Amino acid sequence: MEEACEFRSWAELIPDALGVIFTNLSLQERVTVIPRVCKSWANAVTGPYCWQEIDIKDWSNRCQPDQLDRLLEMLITRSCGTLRKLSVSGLQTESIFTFIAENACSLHTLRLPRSSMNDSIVEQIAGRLSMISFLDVSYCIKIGPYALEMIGKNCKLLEGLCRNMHPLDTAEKPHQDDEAYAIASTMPKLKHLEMAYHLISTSGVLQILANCPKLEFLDQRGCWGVTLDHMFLKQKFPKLKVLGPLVLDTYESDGWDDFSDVSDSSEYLAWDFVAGGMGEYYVDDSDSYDGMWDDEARLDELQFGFYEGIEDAGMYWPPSP
Amino acid sequence: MSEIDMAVIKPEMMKPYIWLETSDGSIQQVEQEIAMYCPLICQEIIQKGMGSSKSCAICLPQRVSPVTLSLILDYCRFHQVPGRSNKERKSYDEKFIRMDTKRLCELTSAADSLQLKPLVDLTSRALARIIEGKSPEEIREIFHLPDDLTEEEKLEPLKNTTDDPRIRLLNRLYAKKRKELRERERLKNVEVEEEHVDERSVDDLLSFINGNDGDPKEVKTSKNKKKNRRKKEQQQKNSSLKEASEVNKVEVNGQSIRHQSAEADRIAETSNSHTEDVFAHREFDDGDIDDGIDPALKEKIDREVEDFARRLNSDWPERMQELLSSGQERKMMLFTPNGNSFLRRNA
Repeated sequence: MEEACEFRSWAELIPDALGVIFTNLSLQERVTVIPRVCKSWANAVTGPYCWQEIDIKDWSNRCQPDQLDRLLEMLITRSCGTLRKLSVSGLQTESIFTFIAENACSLHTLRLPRSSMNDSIVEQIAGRLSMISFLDVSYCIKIGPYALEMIGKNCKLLEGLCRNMHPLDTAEKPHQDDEAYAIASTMPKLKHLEMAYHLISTSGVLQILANCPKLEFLDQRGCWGVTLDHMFLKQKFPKLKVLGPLVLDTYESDGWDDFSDVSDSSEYLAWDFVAGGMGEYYVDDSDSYDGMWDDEARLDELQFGFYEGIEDAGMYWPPSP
Repeated sequence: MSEIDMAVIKPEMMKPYIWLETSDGSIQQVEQEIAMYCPLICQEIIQKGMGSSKSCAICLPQRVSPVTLSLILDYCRFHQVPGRSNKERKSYDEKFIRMDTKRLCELTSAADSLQLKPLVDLTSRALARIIEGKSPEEIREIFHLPDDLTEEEKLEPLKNTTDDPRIRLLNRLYAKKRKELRERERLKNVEVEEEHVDERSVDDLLSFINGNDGDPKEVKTSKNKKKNRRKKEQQQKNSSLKEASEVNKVEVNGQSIRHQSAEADRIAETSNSHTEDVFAHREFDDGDIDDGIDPALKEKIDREVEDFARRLNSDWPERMQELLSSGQERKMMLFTPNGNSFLRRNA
């Protein structure tokens, strides 16, 4: 009877409450474990409540492009048009960008680092990304100022942009401000801008600062072409927090602390946590190895003892009557 | 002293209260500022003017029981006070969610119905921590969920994320077995019809025996013809039954000899009785053949399925470990300490 009562209380959990619980689980568990528990959980996990936020950036770094496209299509289809956040790395095929754009009517946060989309693809899909307020196109080396201009003209609500570059991709190249001019001329509502290791120069930054009055955070670490006077910044832009160009730990710490309430910044904090976790894992692994070694030594000792026993038995065999 | 008492009582009396009714019909009074922390209750008060008296109490959703409401109000009472530090709030939250899974589930459901998002997030994270890293069987046991999925449905999710050939082969074997079971059900229906026919054939045989002296010869003739037909049917159906065919050939030869010797004495046959006899025996033979085939196939399939299930089970721990390691780093942390403790115990 008590069990029946408990069962009834669990049945009362309606799909959206279950969905909230499942969103706290890893992708692997949502896809492979939860659907095999019972019918109601299988139905809840394939419904839209679980997939309004899709974050497979970590997973996508380890799988093949075609697998990634298939999984992404499956998950986006499950969201049934309610997709709000999408984070995926390394997309390559043009059709998957079109698929994302076709299902972006509720999308406000889009992270596509290391993707292979080019200016032409961006031109095709930008019109459907009008609800985007945060966009991450870091390490997308095939897009340029024209793509950023198309994004700025179509995404009127854009408040956050990540355009970080990898140092190896930008080393030994001349400074260019075309992307900075595109940002300055089409993204007036920007509050958060990251352009680490970008080829931007001082004049580009000044253009952005002059045309984005709401800017609160600017990450220009590794932008060696930028030289701005701190006193000048404090006087002209008192609300602005600037990181770099020098890469210093204290700056990083200050930056994250100041923006800890922003959801996107908290994601970065989560990343730091994962990195720390990895370190701990290695330590634990070492302990495991030591444990195994001890176990092996113990086995050897046991064998030796066994042989001793036999010898003793032989030595003390009683004489024949 | 009396002044102090009056001062303490006075603000308390002035504080506004609202009335809340839970699903079991009980009504209670709650401080308005605490109840307003729930968005749903806040809407009822502001938009509809409910809750100001006992006669127009706010009716809470079905999922909110008195016990659960008490917990929710405790949570609201703590968090609606301004000036508490984040550390204090987190400490309170950690203590707050220390309860059994049943109550935690009820609390999640109730908080969700009241649109109290901070509490929903807190309780759903706690439940997710309970679920994390466990197998479907363990989860079913902890949460008392029914095992209402078929084998096919349990294997379905794995098809989406794994290219393991054993999974695919197991799925194929299951499909094959299901098909065989369906065919066997059809055969049972046919056998029922056969039994019905057999009854009539027995009556007819009795009438033949009692009726005429010439019946034995007539019966022999019918048998001969039936066996000829059986031979043809076997050839058409399955070539793997060569041995059976050879045996039948020998019998057929014997019958033909007898037939030739008896030819001079043959008697006219009754068409109806002949037809019935042929039909009855034919069905009987068909039944024999089918029964012979099915057990063998069934046994073979069962053996294959069991073999693969065993192999799959033996590999399962490794596969689960692989899945866990391929998941988030956090899971790796969860897994390794257990391994450590296991090794320490052994050492």
